[in-house]
Amino acid sequence: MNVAASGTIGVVAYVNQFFGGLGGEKAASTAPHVVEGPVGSAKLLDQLLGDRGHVVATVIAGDNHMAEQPGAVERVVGLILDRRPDLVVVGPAFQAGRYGVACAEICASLHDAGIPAVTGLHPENPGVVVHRSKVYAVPASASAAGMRDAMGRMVRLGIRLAAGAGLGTATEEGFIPRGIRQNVFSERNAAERAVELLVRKIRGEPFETEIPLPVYHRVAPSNLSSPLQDLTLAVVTEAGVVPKGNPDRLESARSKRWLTYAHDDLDGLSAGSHETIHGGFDNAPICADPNRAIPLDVLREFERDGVFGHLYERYYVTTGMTMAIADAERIGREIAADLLGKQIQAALLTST
Amino acid sequence: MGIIRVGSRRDSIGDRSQTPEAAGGIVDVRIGEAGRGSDTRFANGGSIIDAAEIVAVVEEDRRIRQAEVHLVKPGEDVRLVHVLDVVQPVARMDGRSRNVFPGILGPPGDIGMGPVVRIDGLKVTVLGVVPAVDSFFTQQEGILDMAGRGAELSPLSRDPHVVLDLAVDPGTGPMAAAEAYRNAALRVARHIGESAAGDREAVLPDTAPAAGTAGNRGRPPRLIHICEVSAFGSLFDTLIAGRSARDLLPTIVSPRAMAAGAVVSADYHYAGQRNYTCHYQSNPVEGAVAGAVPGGSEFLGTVVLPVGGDDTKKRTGAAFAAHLAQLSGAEGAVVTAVAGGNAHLDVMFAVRECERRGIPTVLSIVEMAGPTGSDPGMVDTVPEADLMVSTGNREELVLLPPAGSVLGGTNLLDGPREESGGKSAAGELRVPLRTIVASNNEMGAWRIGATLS
Repeated sequence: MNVAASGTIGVVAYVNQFFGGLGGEKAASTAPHVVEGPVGSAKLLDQLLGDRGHVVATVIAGDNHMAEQPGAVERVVGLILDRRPDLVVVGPAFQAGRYGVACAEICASLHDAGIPAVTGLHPENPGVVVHRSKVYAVPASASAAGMRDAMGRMVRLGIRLAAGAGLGTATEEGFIPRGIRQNVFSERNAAERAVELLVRKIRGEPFETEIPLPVYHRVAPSNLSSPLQDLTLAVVTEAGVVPKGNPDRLESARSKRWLTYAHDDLDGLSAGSHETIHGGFDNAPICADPNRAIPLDVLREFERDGVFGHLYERYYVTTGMTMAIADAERIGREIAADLLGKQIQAALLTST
Repeated sequence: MGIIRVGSRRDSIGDRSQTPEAAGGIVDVRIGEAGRGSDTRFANGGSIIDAAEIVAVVEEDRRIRQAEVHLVKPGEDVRLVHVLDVVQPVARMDGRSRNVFPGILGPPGDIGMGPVVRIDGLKVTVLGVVPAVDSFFTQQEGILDMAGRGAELSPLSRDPHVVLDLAVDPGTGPMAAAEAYRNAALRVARHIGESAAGDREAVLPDTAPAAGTAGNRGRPPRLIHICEVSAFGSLFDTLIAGRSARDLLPTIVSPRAMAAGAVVSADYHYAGQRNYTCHYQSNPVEGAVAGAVPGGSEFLGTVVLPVGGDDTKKRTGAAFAAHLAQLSGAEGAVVTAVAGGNAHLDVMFAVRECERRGIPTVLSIVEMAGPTGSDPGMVDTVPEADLMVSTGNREELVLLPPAGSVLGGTNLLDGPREESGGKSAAGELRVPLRTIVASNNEMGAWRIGATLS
């Protein structure tokens, strides 16, 4: 903890070459470096902090350097962490694209390091969608004309972040929603809120849903690289189908891993050989006949009839119940890479 | 265990704020303030029911090997674990006081018959361990703190509880054990309810709603509640007049029949999002319709929608529920989910089917947004679900401070869905919100909801 003075907090500022007073594009390749105390726009930050804190150092780097040089974000974060700040104020970047992305990446890295950080971005700045869930960004105007307003918001939010108190909602605290669903207490129970909203809807009055319809990723299946009759096919499933007894203890929920099992010596699965340990539905029908999740019996017929070339000797399995999206995406990438590495050109995906 | 004083047969139990005639055949009796001089006394005056009497009611079922009865009050540093069900004391008031919980304790033919007395301000809560049926059908841990941070997370920490801490004979099968625990709580709820039922002989007509005229402005809208219920069978089930809801088509139930226990929980899945029997008896949606809207609204009843076991059953159930809403003259439907995952599809389909029939909807639903709140909260949605109310992100982690004493067991339940399985129940606990009894109840019983942050 870097306490600048009794009862105040130590703040490190990050600015780009322009707001650090080094110039425009000609200075955009400036490497990260530290200047003691407030520099450039950080002077306004220091002023607005008043007796609540002081800018102990300013880290400056050029936009091009940050966008083009590998490891630049890590170097900036290293310089910041060396000063052991209570709070890091990054930007604001307004609608500047390179600057905004750098600010968001720095904030996300500081989040991972457990250091409170706040930035200011125009809602259309591409930095808003970078590591969104890890970045506290106040809305800023498109240009630096809104510097004082943005910096004031950043100071208010930053002080609260540095205090370590639980934050309220994005609306209450004045930051751009991070896409995080956070539990809060309402004055009325959910039934009362539901009835009031429904009556509004019936009467044609304005109403606002508490849960916006989520946007799901849609993945278009890729085209076959050659006719199906020439391809090797693998089965990939999230149905939790494992050899009887679940020898590798695959989780029935919230799994973070995938496994493969051989089925090259089988013409179909059976209740005696396989089961599902999936915990998200009544799995008795699949336990009674695991071919319902992995249709090996039919696939063998198709293989014999030449519908496709060859069935890969192992199947891929995980458990889809309440799996975090991040884990699901990682598992998908890992399985796809494994399939490609084994020259498998097609996959049959089965789900529950 | 000392004496539990719950009231009188002669109106001294508390204030009777409503007459049977004014409340559709339901009399709500508010229990007086919990006594301060004794751990086990309620109110002043009136008849007395003591712990031995309650134990005797419990032990009518010979499968129950061990029974302890406790009275716990709001603010006491007590943690209840292994919570199976919470029931509201209730009895008939027409001389047939024992004819409640039809199909289980009372005759099934009595559904919706007779005025009932419903005791407000006291719950009967049963704790027990049900053996697992298999890796899927396992009892989930349910924690109810009566004080501190944990108490804030549950609507059921607001009332005193007559706690039945029970154990069945070793070797009792899962379904028999669940039935023994469940029915013990129902019997005790009836027993306490009878103390307030008196000797009244009033017989009232049921209040069947008249068909409405949709779009008739200038009067409050007629609203119906489509209430999804667990129906996976086994330990994730609901009993309608004593019958498993599995594979049943939706049916409509009047508030009076609900109060008298026509719908009973047999669901021991995630504790936060379960509907407990007390929620069916005192439906939060009905309460909201009565009190939350300026100008009032008319409540038509509850369409019970059992979760369908496959796609066809989900679509059929949803369409049938909407059909019943239409037949009832509903001008709006409050649709409430139960559980998560595939059970959310049934309510999404119900929303779609209602909207197709010109019945506007609101959907009350829990979110499964992961511990960080960054995942989508539902497995799928329909575009018609343009108005949803959140009962919170069930996966958000909460920290419970250590408890002064624990009832129900010394360690948390262990199982395939239990992150804190086997931990000391009395200690500091970091658990998903869904472990806290009724915290995420999708009938809308509590004030927790998730918002964008």
